[in-house]
Amino acid sequence: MKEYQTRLLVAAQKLDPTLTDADFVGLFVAELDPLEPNKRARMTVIATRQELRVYREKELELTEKLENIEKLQVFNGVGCVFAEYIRKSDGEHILFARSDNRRQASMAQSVKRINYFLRYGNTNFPSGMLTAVAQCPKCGKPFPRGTHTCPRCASKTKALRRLMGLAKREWKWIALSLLFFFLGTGVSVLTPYINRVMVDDYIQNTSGAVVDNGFLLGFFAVVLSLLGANILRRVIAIFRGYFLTTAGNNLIVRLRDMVFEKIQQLSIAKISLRTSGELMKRVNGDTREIKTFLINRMPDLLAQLLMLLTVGGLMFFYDWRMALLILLPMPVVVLAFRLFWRLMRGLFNRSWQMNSQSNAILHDIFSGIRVVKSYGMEKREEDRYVDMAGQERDVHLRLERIWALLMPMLHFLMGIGEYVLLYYVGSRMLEGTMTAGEMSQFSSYAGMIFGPLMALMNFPRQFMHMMTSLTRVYEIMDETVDVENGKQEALFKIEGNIDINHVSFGYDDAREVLRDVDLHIRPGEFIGLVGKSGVGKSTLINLIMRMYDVDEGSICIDGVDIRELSQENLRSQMGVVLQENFLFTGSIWQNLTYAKPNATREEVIRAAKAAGAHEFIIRLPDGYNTYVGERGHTLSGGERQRISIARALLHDPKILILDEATASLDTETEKLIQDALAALSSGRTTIAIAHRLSTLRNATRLVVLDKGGVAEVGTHDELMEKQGIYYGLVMAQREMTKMEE
Amino acid sequence: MGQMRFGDRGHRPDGHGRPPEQHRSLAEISVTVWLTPENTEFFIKNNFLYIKYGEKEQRAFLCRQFPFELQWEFISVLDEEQQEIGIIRNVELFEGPMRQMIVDELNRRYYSPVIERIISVKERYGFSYWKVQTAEGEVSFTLHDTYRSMVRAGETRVILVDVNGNRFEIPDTGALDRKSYKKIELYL
Repeated sequence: MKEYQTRLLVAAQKLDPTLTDADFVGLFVAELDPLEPNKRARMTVIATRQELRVYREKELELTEKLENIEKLQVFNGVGCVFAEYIRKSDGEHILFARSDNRRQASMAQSVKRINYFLRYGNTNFPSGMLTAVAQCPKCGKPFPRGTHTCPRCASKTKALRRLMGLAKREWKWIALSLLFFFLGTGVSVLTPYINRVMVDDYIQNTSGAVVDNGFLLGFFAVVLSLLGANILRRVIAIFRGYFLTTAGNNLIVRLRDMVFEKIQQLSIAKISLRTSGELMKRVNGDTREIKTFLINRMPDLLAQLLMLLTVGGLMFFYDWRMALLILLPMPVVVLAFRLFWRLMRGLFNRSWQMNSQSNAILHDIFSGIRVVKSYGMEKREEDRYVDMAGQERDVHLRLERIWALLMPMLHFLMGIGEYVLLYYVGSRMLEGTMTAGEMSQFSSYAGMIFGPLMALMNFPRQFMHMMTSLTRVYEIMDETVDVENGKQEALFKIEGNIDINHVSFGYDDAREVLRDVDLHIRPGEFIGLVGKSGVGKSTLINLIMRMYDVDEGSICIDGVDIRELSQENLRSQMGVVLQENFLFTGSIWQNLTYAKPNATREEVIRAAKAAGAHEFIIRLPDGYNTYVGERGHTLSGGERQRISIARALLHDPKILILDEATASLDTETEKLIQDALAALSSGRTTIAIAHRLSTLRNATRLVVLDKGGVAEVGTHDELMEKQGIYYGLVMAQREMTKMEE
Repeated sequence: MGQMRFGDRGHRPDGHGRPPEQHRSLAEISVTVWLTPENTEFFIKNNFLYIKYGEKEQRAFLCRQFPFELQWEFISVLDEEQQEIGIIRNVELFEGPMRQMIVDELNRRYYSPVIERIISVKERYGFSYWKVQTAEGEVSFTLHDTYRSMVRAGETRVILVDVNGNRFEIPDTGALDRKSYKKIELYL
C-alpha cells in the first residue's frame, strides 16, 4: 500500500514541486472555507517533516512549524467536519480546515498518519494506516459508507458474467428445461394446425370426401391427436417444472450458503455496519430474487422470444398481409401499455409506501401496547390508524379507478386488430380463397403473440430488480475479511499471560477510543477494569477477544501475537459472560452445552449450581428441557445471566471475561455468584468489568481507565490510599448506597 | 452561580432521612440554565466561539435542539466535554456582533446547501443519483434508499441525507419549479 502514500505525494508536488519523498508526511483535501459558513473552497493541507501548510487553491495561506504542534484533531459538525491542531506552547486549539462529509474518511486517515509522525518522528506507518480510503478506482468517488462497490460504476457486464458463473453449475438442468420448452413450443404451434385439419377436412369436409368408416377413423385420429398434443404439452410442462425447481433449489442453497459463510467470516466491525434485518434480507430476499431471475425469468425470456419468432414467422409464411394486419397495431398497443405503466407505477409505489407505513404504525402500537394502555391513549392511537387507513384507501381508490377506466380501453385496443382481421378473413372466405380451418389456425396464432410481447415488456423491470439484488449480494461477497485468521492453526494451549503492548484503537477514523494502553497480566490474575462509561473498558475486552484488530501496538497471549492465532483457537480458550446475554432458541440444556456439546449431565448440573442457576431451573415445570428463546419460556434478565455464567463455567476456559456479568442480579444473588466466580477464577486469568465496585473486591489488581488510557493500577487498598479517580468512584458509590438504604 | 443539580436535591448533610416531601413541580426539580446577554458573554478566540458564563471562559459548541423546526431558537451550548452549559432560548435575545457570532457558528456547524433546482434524478439499483443547483453551484450526490433518505422536516421542508452523511435542504417543496417538483414528487 506504499503506492497510496506515493499518490498523495504526487498530489502534494503539484502545489510544491520541491517536495521530496523524504520530506513528505501527509496530505488531505478539504472542500469548505474554514470560516465563511456557506463558502466552498478547495483547501489542501500538506504536512512535511518541518511544517503544516494549508493551501487555498494554489495559494499558501497558513503555515505552522510541526515542532509547535502537539497533535491534530478532527471533530464532526452536522454535514461537515472540522480539523484543528493543538499548539504546544499554550495548549490552544487552532482551526485550520473544514470540509463536507465526502472528505471525512480521507481527512481522518491523514490526520492519524500525521499524528503518528508527531508521536514517533518517523513515517513507517503501520499497515492499517496506509490503506487508501475506499474509493472507486473508476470515478474516484469514495464508496458509500459500509460498502466496497461504487453503485455508479458497478460494471453491468462484469456483474452479468458473475451471474452466469453462478448458473454454470446448473447448466444441465437449465439446458434440459430449455429443450423441453422448445418441445412445448413446437406442440403449441402444432395444435392450431391440427385444428385446421379437423375443421377443413372433416367438419366442413371441403374436399368433399365420402363419409365412410375410413373417414370417421381419420376424424377420430385427428381428435385423438388433439388430445395427445394436449397431454404431451402438460407432460412437458411437468418435466420442465421439475428441471427448473431442481436447478433453482440447488442454486439458491449454494448462493445462500456463500453469503452466509461470508457474513460469518466478517468481523463484528463490518457486520455491525448493517442491521440484522438487512443481513437477513440479503441472505433470504436477494438470493431468492437472483434465483428467480436466473431459473425462471431468463429461460422464460428465451422461450418467449422463440415463440414470438416461430409464430410470427409462421404467420408471415401463410399470409404476409394478414400477419401485417395483426402486427401493425402492436407498437401502438405496446406504447400505450408503457404509458399506462408509467402512470400506474407512481401510484403503485405510493400505495406500497402507504401500506408499509400503516403496517409500521400497527407494529408500533402493538409492541407498545402497554404504554398505550397505561397512558390511556387507545383512542388517539385508533384515530392515528384510522387516519392512515383513510389515506391508504384514497390512494387505493384512485388506483382502482384509473385501472378500471384504462384497462378495458387497453384491452379494446389490443383486440382492435381482430376486427380488421375478421373483415379481411371474412371477405377472403367469401371470395373462397380461405377456409374456416385456416381462419381458426390464424386467429389462434394471433392470440399466441400477445403473451411473449407482454413478457418482453416486463423484462427490463425484472432485470433491474435482479441487478439490485445482485449488487447487494456481491457487495457482501466482495467484502474484505478485515480480521484475518493467523497461520497458527494448531491447538495452542493458553496459559493465561496477556500482554497489551502500547495499544491504540478507534472504531471509526475520527476518534481514538483507546490511546497507548500498556498492560501486562500474569496467569491467574483477577483484573478489575474500572472507569466511567464510554471510557473504553468493553473496547479493550473486544480487542483481547480479537473482535477487532488493534490500530497500533499489539496484544500477545503467552508471548504470541493474537493476530498469528486462528480465531477459533483463540476463542475456544476464552469464556465470556456479557451484560446483554443472548439465549438461542432451544432448551436450557442446549444453551448450557453450546460450547461443550458433549458435556455429561453431572458436569452441567455442577456448572448450573455454581452459577446459581440450578435452583430456578428445577422449579420450572420442564426443568432443563425448558424451551427458551423467541417463542419459548421468558426468563428474567437475572436468570438469563445465570445461564450464561453457567455456560461459561462449563466451557472451562483459561481466560475468563466478565463484562458487567453480574449487573442485573439482585445483591443477594450476586453475593452467591461472587463466590462461584471467585472459585472459578482461581487458576485462570480473569478480566472483569463492573460498575458496582464491590463486585471487584476479589481482584488482584484494579486497572482504572480514564480518557482512553490507563490512569491508575493497584489493589483496592493502594488505590484508596492514593485518593485518585478510583477513590472518587468508590466514594460516589458509597453515597449512593447510603441513599438506597 | 449556585445552580441546583439533579443529584443533590433534598438530602441533609448527615445523609439520612429526607424531610417529608411536598409536591414540587418539574420546574423546581429540574433547573434549566437560560443563557441571556445579562449572564453570558460570547467572544471569538483563534476563530473559535468562546463563552464566558459565570467566572469561566471556555470554548462553546452549539447544538440546535430542534434542527428541523427551529433554526435560531433553543440552542444548546456545550463545553468541550459535551456537557451542557446552558440554552439560548432565541438567538435574537443577543444583539449586534454577539448575535452574528452565534449565527455564524451555527451556520458553520450545520452545513446543508439549499437546493434551488433539481437538474436530474436517476434511480439505479437501490441508489439514486442527483444533480442539483445550489447557491454554490452545481452539486451531484448519491442517496441510498431514496425514500428513507429524504427526511420530511415539516409540511414542505425536506432534508436529504446522502451516502456520506452530507445534508441538502429544500426549504419549500411548493416553491420549486414545476419540472424540479415532478422529479421528486414520487418520493414525497
